[in-house]
Amino acid sequence: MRKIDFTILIPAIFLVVMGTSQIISYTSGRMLLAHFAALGGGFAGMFIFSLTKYKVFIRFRAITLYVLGILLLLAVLSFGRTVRGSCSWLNIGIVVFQPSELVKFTTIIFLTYYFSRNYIDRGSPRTVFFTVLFGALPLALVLKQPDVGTAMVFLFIIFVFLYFSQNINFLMFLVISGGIVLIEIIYFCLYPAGTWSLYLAGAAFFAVLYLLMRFLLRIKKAHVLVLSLGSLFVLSLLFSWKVTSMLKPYQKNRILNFIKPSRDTLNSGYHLSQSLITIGSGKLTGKGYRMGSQARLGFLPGKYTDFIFASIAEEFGFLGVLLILISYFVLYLRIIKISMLAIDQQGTFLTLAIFAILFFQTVLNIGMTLGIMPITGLPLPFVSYGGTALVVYLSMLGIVMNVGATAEGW
Amino acid sequence: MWYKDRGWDLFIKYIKFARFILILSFTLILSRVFQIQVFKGYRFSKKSQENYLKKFIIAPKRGNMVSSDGEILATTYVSYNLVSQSPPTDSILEELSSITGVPVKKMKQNICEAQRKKEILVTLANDLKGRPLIAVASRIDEYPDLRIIKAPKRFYPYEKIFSHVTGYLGEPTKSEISEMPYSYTGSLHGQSGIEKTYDKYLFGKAGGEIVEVTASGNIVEVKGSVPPSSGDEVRLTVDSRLQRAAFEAFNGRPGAAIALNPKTGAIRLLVSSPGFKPSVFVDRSEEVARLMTAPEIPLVNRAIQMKYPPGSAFKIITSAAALSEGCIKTDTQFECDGIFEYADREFKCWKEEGHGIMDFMQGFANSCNIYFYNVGLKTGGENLSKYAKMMGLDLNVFEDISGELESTIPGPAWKKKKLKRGWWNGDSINMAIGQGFLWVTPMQMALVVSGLATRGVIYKPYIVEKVISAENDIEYASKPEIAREYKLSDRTFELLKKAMRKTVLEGTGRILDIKDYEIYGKTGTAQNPNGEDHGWFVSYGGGALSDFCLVVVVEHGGMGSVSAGPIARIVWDEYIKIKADAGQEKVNEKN
Repeated sequence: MRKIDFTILIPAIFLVVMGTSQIISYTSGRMLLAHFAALGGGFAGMFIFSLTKYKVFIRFRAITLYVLGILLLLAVLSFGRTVRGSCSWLNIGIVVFQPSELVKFTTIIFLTYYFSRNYIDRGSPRTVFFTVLFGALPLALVLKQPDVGTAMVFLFIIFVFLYFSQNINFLMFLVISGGIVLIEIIYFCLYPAGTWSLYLAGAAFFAVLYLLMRFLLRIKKAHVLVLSLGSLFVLSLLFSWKVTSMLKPYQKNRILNFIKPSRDTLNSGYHLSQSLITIGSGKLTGKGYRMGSQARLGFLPGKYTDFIFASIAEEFGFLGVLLILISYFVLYLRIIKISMLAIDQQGTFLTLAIFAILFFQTVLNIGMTLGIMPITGLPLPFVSYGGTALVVYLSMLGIVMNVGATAEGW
Repeated sequence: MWYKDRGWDLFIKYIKFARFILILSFTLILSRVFQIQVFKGYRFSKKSQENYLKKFIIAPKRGNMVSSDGEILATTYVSYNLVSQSPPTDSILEELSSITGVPVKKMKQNICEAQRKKEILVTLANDLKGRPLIAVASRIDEYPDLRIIKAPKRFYPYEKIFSHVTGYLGEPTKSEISEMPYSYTGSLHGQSGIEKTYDKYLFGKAGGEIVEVTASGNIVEVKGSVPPSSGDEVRLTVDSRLQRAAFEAFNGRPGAAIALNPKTGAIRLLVSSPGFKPSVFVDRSEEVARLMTAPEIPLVNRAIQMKYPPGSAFKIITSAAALSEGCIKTDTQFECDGIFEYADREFKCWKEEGHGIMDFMQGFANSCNIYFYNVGLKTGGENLSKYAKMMGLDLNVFEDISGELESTIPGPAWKKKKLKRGWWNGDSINMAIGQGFLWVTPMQMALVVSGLATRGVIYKPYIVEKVISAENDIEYASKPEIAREYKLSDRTFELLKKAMRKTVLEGTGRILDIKDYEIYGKTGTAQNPNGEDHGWFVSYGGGALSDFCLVVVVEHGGMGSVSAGPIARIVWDEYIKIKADAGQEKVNEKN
């Protein structure tokens, strides 16, 4: 241990302390004990991984870990514990933990391994296919629990590795089709059976497109192009319709609430409006530690889990939030910097993927409490209550430290 | 840096783009947080306070109303209500219902209403007493959410007898609330009578409690409280014995009676029959709806809110006008043969066979219509109208109870303006006996009579003697005020007095001929298009009784001497008895 990366350690400790400040307020007994145990485990993991040579670790452990992760997910589905509608907890005697958090880590390690091996071929359909497949496998299992939030993280992991392939056209296609599917899902939330006007408008659009291509641009095989585009569109419609029909009513409500927050402030919009009141009432300097009426008196749901950011904002005000955001910002900038300094592809891909996972969840969680992202139920990294996530994310930071230390020479 | 060495330096752009996204999203989040916490912080912190700080109103104790003889006419007692911090389960409701006797359905209605009004406390049962109260109180610990709270409740010991004096309580309308800064949601205020006009004294000042509640509505702690302060006591000039005697004398027949002290204007009794029970408005019972629509209109205060033709009682004014203007002298004689013909029309006397030849005194005492037709013709509408107004029939000066009606006093100018027609002598004939277009309230007649007793000084009537605060400070005290002063010659007053005395001794008012006492009176029997005649009896006392005058009207009661007379007699007897008792007490004190 020649070099401890304080630029990573200090923000991480600060975030963990802020989270713990709220968790102490609202939990006690076994729950609180579990949190401190996870803290110990997390920093131990960070320490161990910062000393483990990531190159060796990835080369010899990636496949094993990935397979183990998939098996864990299968185990959860077979004899997991169901909490609040989703079956994502596994009891292995000593501890109860959330394998999906662990599998985030194993999956990026494995994808890093796979992707850096095939880096020369990175744009080829074969690499893309397998990248998607390896990502989609845990995604499907998580979706089965069902845990839509975590599934979205896996979706994002796939996207990140496709991003590494540097295929601009393919990425554009992904982003545009993703956007179209999203719009279609929102549409089907609004009109579950679809509307005739949509189908007519679609048909008319493709008809006009065909006429334009054929007679204005004088493309001879216009019908082939238009037909394939049209069938893609129809496929996307079917896909979104299927996805929407799989959503639970409360999930549809969340999507609709995000589009129109004033839609239903009493029932499904209650979380968001209370979250905004909680954050806003903290004002510049906050109500003071242990003085947050919104969280304390039960107006804020998930005060130490999904909405812990609001709890902190209420008690510590804008200044506290500023410190939190600065911590995240410094931490993430440092990870990106290390990814630039990394001496090999594994180092770069791994740190970038870690950054992506943490950043994605941070933005989604904070954005959710602020009403600029839909409510997804993702925890806030390092801050929210949740032992498995804490251990995993702190360990991730350990690996990042190791990559950085390797780049700067032991 | 592996990518530089192998010519894959394009990759750095992808990393830099990721960094750009990081900066962008954090800028966005930071500005959003700034917007919510700094720009909108004040608004959100108000909302958060609304969330957890709830205000309870503690109702003040409404002040008492006390009669001049010290009887409590309206008071407030402590009632016990069963409330719940959260809607109880059905099984608990059923248990409570069996203890309190309040039906489950009624409790559920209360719960719905409380939820609609977003109140934290649900009132399950109101005004618990006796056995149910003890039963609930002894088991209250079994239900952590339930509490018994004290709430003031209005009570009227005399119920119907003083109903139009006390008035009743109810929830005010929106426009009324804007004039009552001391009101609060659900507070009860006077809707009529003294309860209404003296509401700001009687109401007191509401106290309050600010409590901290959790999201599920449980009270965490009381943050602060202000005790309520009781309302002032209102002392009235009415005497409960007179009021009771008069009210009971009506025996439910519709009508009104007013007695006042002509020397001050203090009202000694004010009865409107039929009465109503003011407490039904506090209980919000189904009786309220019936009262509102009942054909006998019990909520109308007939003493001031109902106009009747004065009938022969108006002959006092006709006489005053004719004698003062010199249109007749006391020895002017007219013959009554039962029918008076004028311009092809027949006007009848109430005595079909006629009274024969009479002078003024005889005509007045016997209330002969034909005598007064002649007087009216001689005097003319102009004079009748002028004297009616002068002697107080146009007064609208009673302020202690709101809603007094204006009288209709016809005259040539009035007819031209209202009916666009000329005054003809037939109108004068009708008006001379108090019929035709003439409509007055019992209160206005009482003022006319009080003016006779004081020889031309009419005091403003009042019913509130004083208002005394809980700390014994006098908040308001009434004093006699002259509402009207008019001049008639002493001779005219003397003649009227004699005529009214003769009415009592020999004429239609013989029922008030009480030995050793001097009472002056005049009956009236007012024809009206809606049915049986209204009976009037107006009277005032002399000598020892000079501080009392009385007007009684019995709606559709028939002849004044028969319907209103006996009521007047009962009241006068009661008054004489009260006077005697007071005198006896004084003698006792001296000894």
